[in-house]
Amino acid sequence: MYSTRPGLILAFHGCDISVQNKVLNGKSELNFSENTFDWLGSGIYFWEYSQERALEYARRLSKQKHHNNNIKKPAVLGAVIDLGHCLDLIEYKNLQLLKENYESFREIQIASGFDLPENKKGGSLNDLLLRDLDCAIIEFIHQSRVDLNLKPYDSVKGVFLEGDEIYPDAGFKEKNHVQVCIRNPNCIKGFFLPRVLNDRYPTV
Amino acid sequence: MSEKERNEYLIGLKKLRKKLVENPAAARKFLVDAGIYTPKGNLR
Repeated sequence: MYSTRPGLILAFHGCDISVQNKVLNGKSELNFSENTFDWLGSGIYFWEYSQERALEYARRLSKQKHHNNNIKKPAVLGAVIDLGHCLDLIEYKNLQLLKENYESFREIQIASGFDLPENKKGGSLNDLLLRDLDCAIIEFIHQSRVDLNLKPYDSVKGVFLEGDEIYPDAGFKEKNHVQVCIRNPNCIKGFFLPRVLNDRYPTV
Repeated sequence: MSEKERNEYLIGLKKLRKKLVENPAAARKFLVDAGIYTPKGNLR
């Protein structure tokens, strides 16, 4: 009953400054991320209400030397988003739905003879950075709705506990965040250039 | 999703699962169509 989100959110996408310019000037669109390990499945990724985290992410990637890493000058793109019909994985009932879909996926995957995808830790970090299994289950949910002729999800949202404890025995971690993954690009109502705070006035 | 829609979805999912589990070729096609695997069974 409440899966369609009222109102708009602000979210941020870390990218190269050339991408920021092209998108802001209407000369380009953001493409879908389609890695097998994407945490919320395929789509356009944003950090909800966290410009700083988006910039940190872009900066980190700019220091990594990969053949397909195209960030030379890190920048952030702001977006005004209507989540629409959202698979919100912060909600209890949707987490139950995810579990039920895992069980269905597992049976079908066994019947298919294909291997079960795995979530894996990335690099020296303890976080599960490569989430092939989670990605597969979410894609499975999307496909099942197609097959059952049900309204597709426009977006997927999740909360992630990531990074080191912020102090000994803390329940909070350094990189906790909320991510949104946009499946329907029409959810994005507009892009904006995040402003620098004018410190002569109070923060609003 | 209302409780009614959720129940309809879960009933549909159960039927879909039964249909695919009984037919491995259809199961493979579904998983490939979902973009999870390639036809050879590798992750896409």
